[in-house]
Amino acid sequence: MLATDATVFPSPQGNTSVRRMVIEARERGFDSIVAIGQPCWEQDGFSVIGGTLVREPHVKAVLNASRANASGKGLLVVNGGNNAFNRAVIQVKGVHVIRHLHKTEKNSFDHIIARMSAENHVAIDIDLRPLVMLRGVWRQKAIQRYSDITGLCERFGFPLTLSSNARSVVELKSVREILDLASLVGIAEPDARKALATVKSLLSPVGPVQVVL
Amino acid sequence: MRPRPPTMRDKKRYVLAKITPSWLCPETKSLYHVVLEAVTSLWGDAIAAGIQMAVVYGDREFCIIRCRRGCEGRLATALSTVSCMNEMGISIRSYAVSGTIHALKRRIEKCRKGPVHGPEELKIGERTFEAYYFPGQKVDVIEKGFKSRELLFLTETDIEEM
Repeated sequence: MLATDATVFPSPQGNTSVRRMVIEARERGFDSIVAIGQPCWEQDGFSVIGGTLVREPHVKAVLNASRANASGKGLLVVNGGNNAFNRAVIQVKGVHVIRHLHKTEKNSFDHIIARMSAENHVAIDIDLRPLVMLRGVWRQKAIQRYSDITGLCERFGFPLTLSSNARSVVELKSVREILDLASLVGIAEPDARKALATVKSLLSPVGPVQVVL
Repeated sequence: MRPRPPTMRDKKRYVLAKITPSWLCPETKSLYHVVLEAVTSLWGDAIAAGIQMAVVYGDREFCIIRCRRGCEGRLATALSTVSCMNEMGISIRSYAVSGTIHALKRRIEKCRKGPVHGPEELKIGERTFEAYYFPGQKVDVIEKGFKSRELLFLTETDIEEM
C-alpha cells in the first residue's frame, strides 16, 4: 500500500526527531513521509522525502526555491496566497503542491486555477490539522473551504494530497484517522487512498513517452 | 426499578483506543470530558446524545469507550480530533471495535508493548531531563523544572549522537 503523509515538521521545527517520526509513521500505516527541511533518505523500505516549504507570498521566492530544487528529488510545497499569486505559482515549473488554501480569501482558488492545476499536475494539499486543532466557526469555515476544493477536484480532476502537518508524534495521524477526517470534507475512502498515494506520482510523473522493458 | 430485558436494551459497541503519550496517565474522568468535548464540538449536541458515549475502562496506554451500535465510526472520527488535555498534547487513536469489553481486554494484553522503563535522569548539555524508554528504541524526554519544560520525542540513536 502506498501512503504518504504529505507534510510533517520534524525537529528543529517540531519537537520530534526525524528518526522518531519514521518509527511512528511506519506504525501508523505509512510507507513514506514528506519531511520539511530534511534531506531525502530511505530505511528498510520507508522513504523520507525531503520537502521545501515556501511561506513568502512572492513569486520570486518560489522561483528561487524551484531552482534550488532543480534535481526534482524533493517536494516543493508553496503556501497559497491570493488569486493572482496562485495562478502564477501553478505555472512555475517544479512546484508540486499548493497548501493552506483554507487560510486564503474565498476567490483565491476558482475554476480557472483548478483547471490549470489539473493541466500542470500541481496538487492541492488538504491539511487536516485545522480539523483537529480548530473548534467552532473556524473549523466550520475550514470544512467549507475544503468541501469547495473537493467539489472542484471532482469536476476538474487535479491531484489532491492529504497531510497531518504534524510537528510532534502526538499530532501524527494514522492512515485510518486520515481517512476518517477526510470523510468530513466529502472525500470518499477510495479518493482519500488515491490522495495518500499522490506524492509518489508528483515526483515521478508519467511522461508522454514511456520506456517499457 | 427493574432492568430492562436484554432484547429491549440498546445494542452497544466498545471502542478500544490507544493513548499517546503513555506516561501521561490520564484519569478516566478527564478522558471522558476530553472525548465528550470532541464529540460534541464535531457532531453537535443532538448526534452526541445519540452516540451515548461513556469511558468504561482506562489505564495509562489504552482506554475502552462505549457507544451505541452504529455510531462507532462517528466516535472514532471524533477521537481523532482530540489534541490536548490539561494543556498537554495528547492523542487518542481508535484501535479496535468489539461488542464486549472482555474481547477488547484480551486484545489489550496482545497489543501492550511492555512496561515503560523509567523515568531515568538524562543530561543533555547543561540541562537535566527525565527520559521514558519504550520498546522500539523510542525515548520521550521531558525537561526537569517548574516552567517552560521542553518535551522531545527522540530515539536512542538520537541521544547517542547528542
